[in-house]
Amino acid sequence: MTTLTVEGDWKVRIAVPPAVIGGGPGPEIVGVLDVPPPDIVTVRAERHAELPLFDSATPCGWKRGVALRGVRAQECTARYALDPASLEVRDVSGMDVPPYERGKDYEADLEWGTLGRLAAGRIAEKQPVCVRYRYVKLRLDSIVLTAKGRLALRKGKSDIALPHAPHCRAWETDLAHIWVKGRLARLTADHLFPILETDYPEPARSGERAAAERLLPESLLRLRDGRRLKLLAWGDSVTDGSYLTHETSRWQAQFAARLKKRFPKADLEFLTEAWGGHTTGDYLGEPAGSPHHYREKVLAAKPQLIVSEFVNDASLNPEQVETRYGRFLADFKAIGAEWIILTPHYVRPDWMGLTREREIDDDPRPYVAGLRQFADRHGVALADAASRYGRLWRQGIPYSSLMHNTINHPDARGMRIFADSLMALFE
Amino acid sequence: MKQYANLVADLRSLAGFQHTCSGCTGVRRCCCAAFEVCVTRKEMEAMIGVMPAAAKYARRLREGDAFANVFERTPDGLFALDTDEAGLCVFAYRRAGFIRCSLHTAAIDLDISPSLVKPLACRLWPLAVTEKRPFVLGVSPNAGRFHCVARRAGAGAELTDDVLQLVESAFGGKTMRRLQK
Repeated sequence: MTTLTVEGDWKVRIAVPPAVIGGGPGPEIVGVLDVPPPDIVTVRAERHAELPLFDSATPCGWKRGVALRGVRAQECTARYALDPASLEVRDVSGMDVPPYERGKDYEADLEWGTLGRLAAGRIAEKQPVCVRYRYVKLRLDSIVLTAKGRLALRKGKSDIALPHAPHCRAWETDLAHIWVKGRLARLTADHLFPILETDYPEPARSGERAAAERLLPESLLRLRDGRRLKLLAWGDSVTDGSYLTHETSRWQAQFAARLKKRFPKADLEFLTEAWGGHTTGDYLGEPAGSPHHYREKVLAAKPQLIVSEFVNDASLNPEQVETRYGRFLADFKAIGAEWIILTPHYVRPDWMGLTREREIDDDPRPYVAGLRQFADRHGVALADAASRYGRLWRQGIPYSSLMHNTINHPDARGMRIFADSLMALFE
Repeated sequence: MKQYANLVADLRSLAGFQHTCSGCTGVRRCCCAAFEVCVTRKEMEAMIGVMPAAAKYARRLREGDAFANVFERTPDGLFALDTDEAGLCVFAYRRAGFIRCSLHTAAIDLDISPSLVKPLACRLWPLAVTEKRPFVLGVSPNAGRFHCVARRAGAGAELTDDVLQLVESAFGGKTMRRLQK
């Protein structure tokens, strides 16, 4: 197994046993590589036509004021990207005028990079201001073994979100990734991601039938014999997926395409019912006539197969899952629908009680434990995407590098993980 | 190892696998999305020459009325090809659900050999040749991860037709025949 250790603030020691690079006889390859510190961007004069009043009451830091353009990610800002000491707000008349005072003229959320004026301050409504600041982008570097058997570090392209690790070349071996996650004073072991596996290890079934044979018999029959299968993808913003560049990247689109390939006769009708930022509880609470009324939009659609994805239900404990999802199960049975529950992807580490993105195989969320227990107890199909997200670190991937908003919106690669977990039921 | 002029061939590695390309449906384990492809200036110029024809298939090659600059200089003096957000080469496109190379299609449209415009790294896959002397030709150490590549159990020194064709398209018939011997 490739081992990495930090040596000094920005140096990494790597040891590669012969087994990793072909298994032939030979000594371990050892080297120490310099890792470039985070890429700092200085914005000298960012003009804002006006500043809204700072809203300290909202719990979302990215909504407290205007977002600095450099730290904007999809729908929000990148947390900790702003260098707090660097922020200066001035009148647009020039750098000669003294800066406005934070706490008196304006306030800022320094974690999230948003700012707004204060009612009693010197910045008037609709008064343009000029902002100077520094921020840091995310970066994922690769360590490769070159054709000549040397270790080399390939610096990745930094970005405010979705940094990609550089690909290795055909004659090279990708050994590890270094997660240069925002404003770091130094590397620690939490930033080192040796590549321990290239794929999620699908459990060996040794003659067992596919889970769909037992849990989704009607859907499977329809897929095989070519009768129409009406499939409803039901979920939140991750199912809505409108933040993705291509609709075909959505998990349900990838799932449908792969089902079609697996079952060439399949006649699929795909529906999506999704409500960004909401939970199953919100669906149940909506009045009749609402665009997201549970009975009118989910049950009345009369799907034969429902796949539910609700990362926003993550505050539920196992008892609450049993009660609420038990109701859904009874309703779905009443309309003759089969059900696949998708366990959710991993989200911002602090929301999950995590302090790092490696050695996180076991999902700590009671909701996920509740879903697994519920599915097992009631014989409902479970597509366990969470277990796949939990092993991404073993493939050298910090999971938050797959999030468009750096929080909880997976990109096309993250969506593919959902499709993988769904397809595993049919393989 | 066997030396042919400037090329050292790793015969044991070359004889130990077989390769069949029928096109990939997804980017995972697709050679067009797995590697950094670097080209020489000469290769880059050949590619630029067919960009108008290739851009009919690979839309990302266009930026409005002009062509996108899809080549990025690397520290070792080569030019790396850009990829999209999924890591897929910008010259790739999809047809009938399969990932295809717009350079290859453009060459066929223009009635020229694809080997004149496709990067050596792409023509060779899953073989690879080192970028610096001595130039070693063998199988990419990553090849085993791809569905299109299979190991040949109990293989002798004889090379398969797939390998010989790859060598011929990259280095010409003379090298291929010498390898065959």
